Amino acid sequence: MANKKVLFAGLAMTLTAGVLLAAYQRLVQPKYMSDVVEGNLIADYYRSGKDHDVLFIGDCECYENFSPVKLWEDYGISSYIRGSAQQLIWQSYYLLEDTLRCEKPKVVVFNVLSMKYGEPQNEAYNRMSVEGMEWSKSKIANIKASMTEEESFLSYVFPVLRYHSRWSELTEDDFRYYFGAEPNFFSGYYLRADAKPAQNVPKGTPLTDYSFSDTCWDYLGRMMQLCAENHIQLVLIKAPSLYPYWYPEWDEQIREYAEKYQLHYVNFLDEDKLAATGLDFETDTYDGGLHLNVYGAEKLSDWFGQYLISKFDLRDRSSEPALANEWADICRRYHAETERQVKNLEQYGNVKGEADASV
Amino acid sequence: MLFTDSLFIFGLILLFFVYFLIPQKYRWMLLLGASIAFYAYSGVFNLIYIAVTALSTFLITRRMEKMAEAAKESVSAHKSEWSRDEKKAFKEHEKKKRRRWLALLLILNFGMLAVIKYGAFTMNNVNTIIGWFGNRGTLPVPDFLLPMGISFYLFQTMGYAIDVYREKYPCEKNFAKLALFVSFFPQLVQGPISRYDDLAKGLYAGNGFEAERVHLGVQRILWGYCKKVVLADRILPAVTLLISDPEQYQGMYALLGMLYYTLQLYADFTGGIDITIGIGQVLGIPIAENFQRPFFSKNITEYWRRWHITLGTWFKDYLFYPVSVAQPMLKLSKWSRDKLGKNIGKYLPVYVSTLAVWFVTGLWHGAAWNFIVWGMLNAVIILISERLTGLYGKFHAKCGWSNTRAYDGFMAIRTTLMMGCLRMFDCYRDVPLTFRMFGTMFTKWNVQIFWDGSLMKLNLSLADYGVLLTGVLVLFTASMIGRKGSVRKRILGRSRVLSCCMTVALVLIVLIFGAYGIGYDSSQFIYNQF
Amino acid sequence: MNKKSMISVLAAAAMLAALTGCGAQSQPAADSQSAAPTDSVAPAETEAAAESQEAAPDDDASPAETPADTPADEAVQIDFDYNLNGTKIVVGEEADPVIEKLGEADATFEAPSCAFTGVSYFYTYGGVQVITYPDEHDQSLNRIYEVDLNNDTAATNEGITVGSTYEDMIAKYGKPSQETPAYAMYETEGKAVRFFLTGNTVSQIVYTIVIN
Repeated sequence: MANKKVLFAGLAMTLTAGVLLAAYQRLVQPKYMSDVVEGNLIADYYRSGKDHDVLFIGDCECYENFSPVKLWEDYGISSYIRGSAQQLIWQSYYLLEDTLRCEKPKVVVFNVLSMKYGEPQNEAYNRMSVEGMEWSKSKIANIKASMTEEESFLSYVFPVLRYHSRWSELTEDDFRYYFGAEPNFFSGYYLRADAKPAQNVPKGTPLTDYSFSDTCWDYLGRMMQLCAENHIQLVLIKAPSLYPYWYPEWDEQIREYAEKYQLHYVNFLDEDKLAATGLDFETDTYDGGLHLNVYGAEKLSDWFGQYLISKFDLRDRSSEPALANEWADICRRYHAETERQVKNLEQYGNVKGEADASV
Repeated sequence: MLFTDSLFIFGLILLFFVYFLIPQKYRWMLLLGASIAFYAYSGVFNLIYIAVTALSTFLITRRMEKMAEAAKESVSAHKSEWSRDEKKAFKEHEKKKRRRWLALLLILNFGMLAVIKYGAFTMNNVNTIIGWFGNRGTLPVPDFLLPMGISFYLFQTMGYAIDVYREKYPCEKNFAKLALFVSFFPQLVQGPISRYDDLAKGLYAGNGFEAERVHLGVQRILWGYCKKVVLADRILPAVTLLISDPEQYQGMYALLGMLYYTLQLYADFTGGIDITIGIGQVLGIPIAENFQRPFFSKNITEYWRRWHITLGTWFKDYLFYPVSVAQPMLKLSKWSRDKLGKNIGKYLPVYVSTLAVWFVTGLWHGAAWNFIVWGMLNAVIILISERLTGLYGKFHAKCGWSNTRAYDGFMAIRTTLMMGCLRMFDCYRDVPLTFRMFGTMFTKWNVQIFWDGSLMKLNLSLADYGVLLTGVLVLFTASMIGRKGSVRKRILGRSRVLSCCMTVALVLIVLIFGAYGIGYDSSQFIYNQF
Repeated sequence: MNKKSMISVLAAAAMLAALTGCGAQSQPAADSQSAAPTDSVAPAETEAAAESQEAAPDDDASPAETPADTPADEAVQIDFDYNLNGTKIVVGEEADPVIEKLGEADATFEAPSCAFTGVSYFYTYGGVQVITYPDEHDQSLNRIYEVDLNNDTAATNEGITVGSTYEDMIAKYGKPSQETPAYAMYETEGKAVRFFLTGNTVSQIVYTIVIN
């Protein structure tokens, strides 16, 4: 009897502490709504219909340069971009694994810039890339591969251990989006409608060592194998971002690799490709050549849509009602957002509108 | 391994569960296993030192006890034959033989400590002296890794050996049990230095699960974590910053550094001890208290009775007392009484013993001159105030207002500040620098830092100050209430539900307001120093 | 407030990499790691203090001998700080005052961090390019990352320019601390000068912070 009482008291205390902590954790976890919206990219996927023929994986050169809406509207290709800021190659690999739990795309497109990072880089980007994932073996492996020295696995399991001190920095957003974020993206695409011409883009300073690390090659190999096992075509791309500089020595290694394993490799920085897409770096980039704006992304997607259709067995699925229904909503939001940003640009000179003139 | 490592916390929770699930007679073995694991985790080489201490102590205490038993048997066998004087002489002779064994043990162990902890310090000083004669530092300076907690477990174990020698209690016959006494893990990091007769019984008993005791123990652990993680670790970056750049942080900054360090040290040290004692309480092992509201002390002598109590009593029992009654000291006493007059003769031995004890106390804290100067200054203040006791008595008799509670408060603050000033030696770790920084508190009157926003540039935000201030108030209130008995017990006595709520609240406070994880990374603060 | 605070949570924490683009300069901040001793102030009256005391060697321990045995050079004193029109540029140091002193650049380029506020800046002055990166703890603080000498109009303080020969370089700088047919590097604590070679000719000179 007495033992039961003690057990009950112990359980009650544990439960109360657990519930209160969980509630607090929800409050202090970054909401990524008004600022650093890129933090919501990864989690956004689980709200999608999970029926995509083409899956993009990679960093900002994916999620800011390709417009899935354009691919849908013009070619009836259902696609999704699973990308996040400075997404490292193993993060891309584990996101691929994670996505394959939910669906089987026909084509996977991987942007190769992240081949340059052979080691965990940065906690903030790790958090944005990893925390949004649903729990699975892939997420666990991803955390282990991504952690920098000062991070702990436990703080990914219980993010309150990481964000506990944010009580003094809470903003309105933390309360407004307590129960969940609002969709900010369009099938993984981050839309920007402003323009800043690319000028004086620096060439890369020579490096002492151009070889990619073994870790990166290993993950690229695993990515290839995973695609092969699932009968998925893997396309390697280098997005047309002028900076960070993509060294010819790097390009050469990827080319050789692609040839060796008979993979498709498209380097959009090649002059003929650049010309074919019709990109104009005076008008089609919003930050001076690092990322494309929506106009640039649409041009690039237009070319890439044709490429995909010509190379792979992709049907126009725009007549499928369920899919069309889902995409109609994405397209509507996409066009509304473009319009909103254009209006803000005209009125305030920035895409965000009056509230934040610093962008 | 630190108490704040997540591995330690998980290990501890696991240990608690297993401890109460296994049969009583195996519980102490579990503790031994945990202690060895704890120690090995910080470096396997650590185990060698502690094993040497445990084994040598076991063998020699056994030997001494056997010798004492044999001596007793001889005496009783010759009861009728020997005269009283003969018996006495025989006992004395036997004791001397045992003393040789004790000396061997002490030399072996303290010698080990001397070489690994003080070797570098000694050699550096020797080299300096050689340097005075024109040679440049030529003798090799040893560089040992200091085994974790060696000053604590060694003193505890040697205390035990001396007690066995003194036949205070029989020695431990089971080596594994002695090894547990030597290595009991909660005490390894920062003490307390326990006595065998206090600790052993609880340690080997394997006491069962008593809900109230366990709950109170858990609360004490959480309270310790509150002090350590919420207060000490939060203010640490400010302390680090203030002492890292003495050129920039002078005057009021030095004062601030002293006050911050006082809080940091108090919260860290007493918090750690709370965790230790709390662990003991959960396991049903009473561990000696090490603090008794030290900042309420009216003078430094009292302060040292209430701060790091087990170290003070250890020195009193095993150093001050034997030194005071040692033959040379008795001779000195006689000589001084004869030659220097009754008054000085009475005090000289006490002074010498006191200075000796404080010299060693200083050295115990660290192998550096700043600690020695710190120890000697403590001794000087204690001796002066002792000399002035009579004057104080007259003062209190004459001035009624000096017997009010307000004046008591004044004295407590005075003591706290005085100890803070002395503690500047272990902040700056450099004797001349400490004196200089102390001086700037009076010569550099930059009081504007208290309102011109400078306080916010000390690695502490407004939120940090809020937490610290609240924390200090809570500590003070708890100490005030605690004078009339344990706060936790009184809350439990009032209402079990309230007590449970307090436990939950403590967990939340540690996790939410604790200064841990990224952003409180010590390397970040170090970074700021450059 | 909000953007800053978000960053202070996410980014201000000790990070290995500066937040420069999704893949800007190979991350510079690594050197601050190796520079920082791991010990912090430990409570001195506890054992921990005594140990940390032990960990940090006494100041007076080693003033006796510091032989100048930099293996790279025998007598050559290499200047690792580039001097541009009388302005000293020290890699790793705060950039803004230097940039101000240097006056208007011929060309500038900004590479904002992905998602965050830090920016990497590129300033061109004739044949010299100065690159900055945002401090890992304070995104608004820029530090000098690199100084590139891109043509023969710019000479190192020792007089080597793009177009000098390998032998010229050896004559002025001595034996490199590291070299391959493609480059020669002279290194000191946290800084380096690299000479990139095409055949026997210097094709580019780079002053940079050292990345581990």
